[in-house]
Amino acid sequence: MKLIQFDRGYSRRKFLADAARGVLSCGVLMPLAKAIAATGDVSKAYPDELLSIEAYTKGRIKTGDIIDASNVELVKALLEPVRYEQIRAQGRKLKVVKTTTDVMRLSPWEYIEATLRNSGKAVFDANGNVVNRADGKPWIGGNPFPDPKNGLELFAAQTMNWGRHDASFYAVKMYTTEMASGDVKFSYSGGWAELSAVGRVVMDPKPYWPEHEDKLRYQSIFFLTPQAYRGTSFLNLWDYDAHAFPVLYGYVPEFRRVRQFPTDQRFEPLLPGLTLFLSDAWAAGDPLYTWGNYKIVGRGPFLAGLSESWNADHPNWEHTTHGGPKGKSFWDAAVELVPEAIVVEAEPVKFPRAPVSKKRVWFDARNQVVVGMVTFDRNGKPYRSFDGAYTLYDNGKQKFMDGQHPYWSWAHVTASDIQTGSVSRLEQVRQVENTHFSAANDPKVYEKYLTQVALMRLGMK
Amino acid sequence: MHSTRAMHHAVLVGAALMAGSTASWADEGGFLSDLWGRATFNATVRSDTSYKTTGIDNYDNQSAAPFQHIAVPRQAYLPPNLLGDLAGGIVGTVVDKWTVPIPNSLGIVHTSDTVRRDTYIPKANTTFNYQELRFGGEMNVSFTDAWRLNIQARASYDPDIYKSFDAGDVANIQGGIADGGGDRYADLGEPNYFEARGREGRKINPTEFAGRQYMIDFPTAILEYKRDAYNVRIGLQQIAWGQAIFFQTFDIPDGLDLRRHLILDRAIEEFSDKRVPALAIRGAIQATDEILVDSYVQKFQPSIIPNPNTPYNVAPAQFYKPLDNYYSGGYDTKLSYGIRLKADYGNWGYSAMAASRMNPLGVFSWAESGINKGLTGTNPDGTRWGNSLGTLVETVYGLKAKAGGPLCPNYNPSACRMYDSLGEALAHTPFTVGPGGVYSNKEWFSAAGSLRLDGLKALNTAIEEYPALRDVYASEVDNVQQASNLLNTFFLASDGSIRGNVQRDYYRESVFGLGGSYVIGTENPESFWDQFIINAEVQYTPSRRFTDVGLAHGGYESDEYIVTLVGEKWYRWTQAFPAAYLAFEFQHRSASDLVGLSLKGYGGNSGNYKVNDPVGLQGNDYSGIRTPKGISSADYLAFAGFQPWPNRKYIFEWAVLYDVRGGLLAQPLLKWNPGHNFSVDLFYNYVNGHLYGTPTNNLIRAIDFANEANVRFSYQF
Repeated sequence: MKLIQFDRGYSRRKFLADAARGVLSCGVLMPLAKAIAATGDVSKAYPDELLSIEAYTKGRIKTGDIIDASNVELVKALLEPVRYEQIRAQGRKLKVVKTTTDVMRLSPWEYIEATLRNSGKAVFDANGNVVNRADGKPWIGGNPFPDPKNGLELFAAQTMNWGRHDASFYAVKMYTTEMASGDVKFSYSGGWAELSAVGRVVMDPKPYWPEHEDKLRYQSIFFLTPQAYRGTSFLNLWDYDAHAFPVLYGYVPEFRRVRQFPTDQRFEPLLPGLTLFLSDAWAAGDPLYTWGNYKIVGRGPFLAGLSESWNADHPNWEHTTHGGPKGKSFWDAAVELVPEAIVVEAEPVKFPRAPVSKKRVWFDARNQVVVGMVTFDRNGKPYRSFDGAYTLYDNGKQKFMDGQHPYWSWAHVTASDIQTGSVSRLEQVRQVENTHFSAANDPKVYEKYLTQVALMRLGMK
Repeated sequence: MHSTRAMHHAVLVGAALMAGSTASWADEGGFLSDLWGRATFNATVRSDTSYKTTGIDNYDNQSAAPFQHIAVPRQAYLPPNLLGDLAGGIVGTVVDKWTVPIPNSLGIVHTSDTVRRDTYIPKANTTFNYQELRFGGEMNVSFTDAWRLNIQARASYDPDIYKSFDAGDVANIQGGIADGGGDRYADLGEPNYFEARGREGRKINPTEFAGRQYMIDFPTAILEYKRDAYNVRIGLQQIAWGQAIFFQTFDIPDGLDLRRHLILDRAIEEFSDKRVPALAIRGAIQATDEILVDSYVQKFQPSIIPNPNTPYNVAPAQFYKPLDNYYSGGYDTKLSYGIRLKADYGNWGYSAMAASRMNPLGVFSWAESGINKGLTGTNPDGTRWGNSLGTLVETVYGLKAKAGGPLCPNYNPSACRMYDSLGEALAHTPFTVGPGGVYSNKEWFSAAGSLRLDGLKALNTAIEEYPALRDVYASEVDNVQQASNLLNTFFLASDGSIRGNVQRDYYRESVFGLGGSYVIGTENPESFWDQFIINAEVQYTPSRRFTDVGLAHGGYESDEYIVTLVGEKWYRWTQAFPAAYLAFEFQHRSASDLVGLSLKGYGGNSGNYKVNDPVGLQGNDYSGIRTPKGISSADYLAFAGFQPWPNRKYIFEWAVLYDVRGGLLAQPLLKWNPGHNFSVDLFYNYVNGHLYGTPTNNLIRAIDFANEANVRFSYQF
């Protein structure tokens, strides 16, 4: 129980005061980083009204309740405009779950340990790359800026390690629904792999993969269905230099071989109907300095999915849907009250004629993960909106393990094209085709997905 | 017969697969059901239609041959060998060339006339160039993480909606198109859209099942093993190499299957539907992060060319389908193999390759027909065919003494004969009397020119290589006038036309390649050149064997180098649309054209070049006839790309191939992806082989009948 003087207005005044002074100091009652370092829990940093939906809504919405058109006005301030409108007019619903205060449930265990262990050791070098302060070498693991002071630090950490594992493979299913008809018009399945060459905290050798220290990551995406796109795959080799575009290789079924492709156009729809660009990946799909003018534009509580989103009841972890004319437009999703989200905007400075003029990204102050993004077109109008859910793959009864600890990852994403009304849904599933299984920190991911030979294999033909 | 057997095989294969499926269901919870769980199936059904937008049909086919509707004068000349025979050699020594016309004999002997092909060959009128229905299916079974079975099957059906030439329609003209000397499956009836057989009737591709209107084959049927950085594939497969697209420079492992829609399908599919699958072992190693080693050993499979009178036939139907010596020459047991290194260091890339392969196009040469058919005979309907000149020639031939006998101890073509009859003699030549062949000297040089051959050399080569031709009064000629006189004499004697016989053989070659690429990075992201990829690939083949312009057996050898430059770029024109993909290409070839034909054959006649009024006794019409002078190199430019719409529901694609010597192939295409696994492709093929210059100096002329609107419907499930 917090003292009554920390009423709803106190938090708001604190956020506004920080904004007026141009500083970012996470936490309301005490510095968030200190609270986490001391107890591993964020409770001491925030008043009740930021830790429970009941307190925030003065009891009108309770944990376990559904937010729908009937009560969305109560939480309008906790939603970005697109989700608000989808709930208000298109039948979208969100289930409210308890706010997570234990930070060890908000990222992979080892990543958090490394974050705490390496806190304060990161610095930008003369070229703007994040390095270990002690020796100027690449980053050594965990979040380099757990107590962020500006938008650049938040994006630097996000770009440094997307999935927060040393290696990840996500089996993915994708669907695009048109809002007017409610039909699922496009369905795809495939996989996404990423592997860090530096800042490794689990996989040996660590923190660096010898002779690969000049790379930030290896990343690939491939598609299995439908048939016309089967085998389509792309491999990105990310340089550690945050100014350099990745080198891109692709296997296109029409060409039946692996070829190098130009890499600077990252706002192109990968497949018909999908509202997704390479640039959209993890809200930081491009090298750090190909975007610029990072600035914090807001702070405050937010509703986002950070727990209870693993559908262990389905053998393949597939999620259920609702909303729209045919009940297929939105994921059945659980959200929790995020005590403090930091809203950062950035502009695509190295992408002439990009369709996007800026992106606005919500970071959860507790773990600095991206919990929402809206991109804006060149006229400054909202263009596309992204929201998703992370989760610990542990529902109390069942667990999916990642080494010694339950797996932590994303569960699903909703990407809405505001201007066309189409909604693309992605979900991480247990497996696709009994061959490709979601997993973390498997050293085989490199040979299996992240070389040109791997693309040849994935090409099937 | 073959079709029935092939269909039977196909049914058995299907039944076996079905049996496997049934077994797996019956084994619920066991090994087979586990295997079933590891299997995936995907499929596509597709319809492709091409609507002809001009009144021009394929002039390599019977009903649209260049002189189909044009009267050409023919005048018979005294064969020097015949003169020698009649005058004991005295006259022969005086008139030793084809320069003396046979006087008009008031109709007693048929020594001159004018001929139009359409007198013999019925009209065809095709509205559609192409209609194909296709099913494509894929089964993938991952036994373990390391082992995988992948089988892709393709079934095509052509409903034959064209009004094409049917050899049965000319069965009672000159005795019809004769069988014999090899499997003439593609020449004797209606057009055969799919089958490809060797000389003795065996399928060129042993793993396909084909009939006249259908084919089922397996583009891929591999067992794959992977471990760490190694990957090995065993089985039927297609292998594509190189950074350059459209222009094959490094892409040398496989031959091309030019049946179906030739090279006129959706251009951006490149050769994915064309490479001939071959039984192979392919191993790839990611040796280091930067270096990829890729190698293969495969059973040699040749390129497959369309059959006569099919919509995209590329060889004049006046020839029989070439007799393929794939089996009879022992080429089916040959192996091709190669290795490629690919190294990528950031913005720089390097590649090298070396291969020893059987050239899949092969070498075409005159072939002995093996068809015993003289200048006169009886048609299937009981009527007689042949004319008085033919009767006279056969009679005179019969009067010659048999070589080796007491009257002819030393062979002399004027006085001796090697065979019992003129028909038997012709069986030992590349020429067969029959309808739908070459009717006149003008047509001879036109057909030769369209195939990039030298009509004069081809005639002399046949005479030099096949002594039986001397036996039937042929003799070498010095120029096109003499050649014309010889040819028209033979055509007149045949009472119509003579068909050519060629064969195909294959030769080994060593191919070497070097390549490099560089990704340009500029400080200014607005620059067009930022992230522009430049790629160069060079192929060098010493002593490559080409088809001789005179169709000499064994072809001829020449070193060849091919240089290909490619520039690629994603470029965003506007904020409103995603970036367009642009590919600029240039290729320079020193000895052959894009399809591998010798440049020495370029520049001959084409189409129905000028014909003077019938001249009767004045002689033959030599106007406009020319032999190819060849060209020093072939140079091509290509510009291709695609522009997706936002959301990629529509994609505009284009491909332009420009032959700098005056040919253009342009294909604009709109692809529509409405969703629900359905897609529609609309595209147009604009083909112009006579922009400027000599039409037979550019490659496009060979297909510039194919202006057509195309639509493809696809559904995937």
